[in-house]
Amino acid sequence: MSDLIFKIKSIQKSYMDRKVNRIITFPSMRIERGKITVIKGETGVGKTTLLNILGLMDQMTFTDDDEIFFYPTKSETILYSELCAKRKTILENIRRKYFGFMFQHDHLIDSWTGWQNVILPHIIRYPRQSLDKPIEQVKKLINECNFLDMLEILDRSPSTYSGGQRQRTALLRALIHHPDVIFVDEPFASIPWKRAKEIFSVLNKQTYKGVTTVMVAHDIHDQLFSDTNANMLTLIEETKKEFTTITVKEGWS
Amino acid sequence: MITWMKKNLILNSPDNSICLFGKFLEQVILKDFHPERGQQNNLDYFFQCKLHVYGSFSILFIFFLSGFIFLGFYNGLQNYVNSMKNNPFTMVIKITKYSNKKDLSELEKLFYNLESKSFELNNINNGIPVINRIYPFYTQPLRFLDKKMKRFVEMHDVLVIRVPGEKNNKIGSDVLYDYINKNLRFKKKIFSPETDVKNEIILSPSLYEKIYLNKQHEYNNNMKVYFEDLHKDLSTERIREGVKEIWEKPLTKKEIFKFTNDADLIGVLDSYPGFDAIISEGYYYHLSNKFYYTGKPVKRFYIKLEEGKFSEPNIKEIEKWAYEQFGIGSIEPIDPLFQMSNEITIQFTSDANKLTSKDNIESQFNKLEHKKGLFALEFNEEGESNDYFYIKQKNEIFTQNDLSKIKSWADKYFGKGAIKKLPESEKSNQLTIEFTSDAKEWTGKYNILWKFTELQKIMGKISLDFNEDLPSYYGHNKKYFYTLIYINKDPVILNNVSALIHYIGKKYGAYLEANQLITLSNYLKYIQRMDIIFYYILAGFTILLLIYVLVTFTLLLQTKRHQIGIFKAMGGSSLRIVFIYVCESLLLISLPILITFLISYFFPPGEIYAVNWIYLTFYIMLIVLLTVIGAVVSALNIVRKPPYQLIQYQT
Repeated sequence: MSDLIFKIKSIQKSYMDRKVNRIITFPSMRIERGKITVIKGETGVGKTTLLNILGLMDQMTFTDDDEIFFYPTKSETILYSELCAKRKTILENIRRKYFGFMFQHDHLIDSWTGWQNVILPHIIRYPRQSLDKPIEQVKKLINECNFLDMLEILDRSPSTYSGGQRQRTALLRALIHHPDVIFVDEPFASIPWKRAKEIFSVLNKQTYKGVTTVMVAHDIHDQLFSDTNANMLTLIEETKKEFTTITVKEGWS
Repeated sequence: MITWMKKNLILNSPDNSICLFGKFLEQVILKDFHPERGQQNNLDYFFQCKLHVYGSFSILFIFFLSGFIFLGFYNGLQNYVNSMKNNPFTMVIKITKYSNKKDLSELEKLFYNLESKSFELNNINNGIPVINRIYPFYTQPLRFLDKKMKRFVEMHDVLVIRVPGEKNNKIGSDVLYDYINKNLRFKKKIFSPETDVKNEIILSPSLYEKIYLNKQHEYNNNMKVYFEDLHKDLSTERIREGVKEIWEKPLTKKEIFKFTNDADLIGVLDSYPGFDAIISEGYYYHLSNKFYYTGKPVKRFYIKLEEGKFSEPNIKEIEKWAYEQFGIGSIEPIDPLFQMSNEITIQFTSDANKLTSKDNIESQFNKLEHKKGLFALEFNEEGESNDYFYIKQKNEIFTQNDLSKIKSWADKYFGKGAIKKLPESEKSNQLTIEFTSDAKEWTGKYNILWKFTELQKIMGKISLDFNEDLPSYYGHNKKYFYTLIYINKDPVILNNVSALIHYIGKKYGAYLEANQLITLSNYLKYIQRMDIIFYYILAGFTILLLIYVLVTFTLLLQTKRHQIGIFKAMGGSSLRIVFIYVCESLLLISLPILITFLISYFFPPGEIYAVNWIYLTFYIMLIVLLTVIGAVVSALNIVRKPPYQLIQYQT
């Protein structure tokens, strides 16, 4: 059996849609450690919802049988059902310690400079360090990712960046505090192919360090993943009244 | 708490540099107040990024300033009312009417009859005494000189009062004495006992500052206040002499001697309304030359018959007159054997009061008018030795040379060491020569007069005076124009003040101004009303501020939802995020608090305004507390939401 980082056992998420309580049920899934897992599916099938639940950005609706197992290390297991019942500070700790995020709309803070945006997760994770360390870290990361042109623009507000520059800044921000899992939500939606390739290549390199990437993507970017050993999970929706059941198809279609 | 904060919120890094959280906090706050401009033009940048900060500053500034000023006025009014409450010049009913003290003393027997609910001049069983104390007084306008000896064009009202004597004295220890004593800015003994006529004055703070042109002018014991002589007109004199600057020109030394009087400044009385200065009644009579004061007391006087010898009825009549005028204990009994003589000696006892001067005896002697022509008054004091006498020069001060001439004259005619040491310089035109026990010559009046002619030959225009002891004031029969009546502070009396005014006005034909009457009950009602208004305004202000802070911070934090969502997604602790916005809100209020504090403290908007540190601290603490509550409630409302919800909110 391969090394898992997440094991999902049939989870549910309920939400209000025009005064109707809808329930979406996700099937059991597995996400392997140190690999890129790409989640695909039609629009509105719940890809981002699943990503948010896994990244502890949102909570699932627990029933007796539902569970998400998170294995930060091979010997350690965290149950999401227990986690969500505990104090929120524990969720914050796990997000801070293990997870990195790259959002669909980069979500950079425009009133700050690029530098300030990038070092934000580091500041939050290591509040007792001096300021030199994260800056050194960013420079090292820029070299590693071959984003050398970024050094010139990081002093400015992200509102002056191009789409590609914004996504690369968001990528640096996701990697700066050495997370174990990076959640990436449709990062290539609004950037040119060349930049998308560049970003994916960085994420792919991270897998060599054992970093797991869970990514939401669309079919049009399949070509990016073809040369890698990324896992593919395709979500298929079946809706009956207010109940939506998702089935999952593993592997390349 | 502090340790907890250090441990959890503001930690130092191992290498002692400022912790990243501190930097983060600083960065968030700094960027919230001064965000990166990006590609926005000036106008967009101002409206989107700055307006809410400046707007909040302005509104909070107006809010706090109103509060500070309200508190200042409230405190000022309270101080004012309290000072008025304790002020014997205002806690009275003021009567405007010519009356003498004897008539006025009748009012002290006024009672309020609880049964008939009326005022009566009889001591009745169920009555409440109405009047506590009565002060008759005058006001006298005087024209003062400033410290450059320039006259003020305007006159200042001086209150002329019978000041009670020293404490523990029979008349002392009363409202007026206590008030003046407690409210003197400089701690110096207040007016001399009322029978003395000393040239002393108490100034109001405003006149003091006007004369010395400086609030912080240092007071010393030798300060004199100059004012124009009541009977002389310097302006007419200057016009006559062709002086162009009638008012502006400072007075010359000669003019000061000729046209002014001076008084020793014995203090500045804080907070008394209506008058610019206070002088004693005795000094006023002295200034106005009404001669209602007496000179040096005599030990005895003689009454003579022009023709024939005293009969027994004569002696009894004289004895009766003497007892009436000077008091039974003041006169030795008249020996009946005087009926064999044409001269009676009236001998004062050692208990005699100070009113046994020649002037006073003469004035009392006139009351034996029906015998005028028969009786004659005589003072046969020539044989008595004198302890001191005075040498005077007109309009000139004594120089060093003059003093040495006087010294050698005294040594020559009364023996060496006969007089006490003369001052090194005398800045007046009057010099006191006091004999020591070493005087070899007889110091009787005629001997001094005879030897003084020698001094006159050396020095020229000088004069001799034996009777310049401080005069004593005697004013029992004087008529006063104003009277201050202190009423009993019994609630029954206070509730019937209007009826009392009506009664006094009708009974004594006195004029009482309704607006001059400020009673304790009025003050207390005023304070009570002010307190109620204060609590209502404070409660309203608190609610308003809380609503404003809540609304402002909630709206402000709504615009920060995206940012907070990102912090939370990156694992930022909710507690720290709340802490950041509490700090930000405190920073937002600190500048308006500081500015309003400086404005309200250094630019007081009126005389009635007074800063009270207790109120101020309370007010600032209230603002801080409400702000923290507002910020915590607003921030908690946002941070409790899941990050994915917050992050979707894009500004």
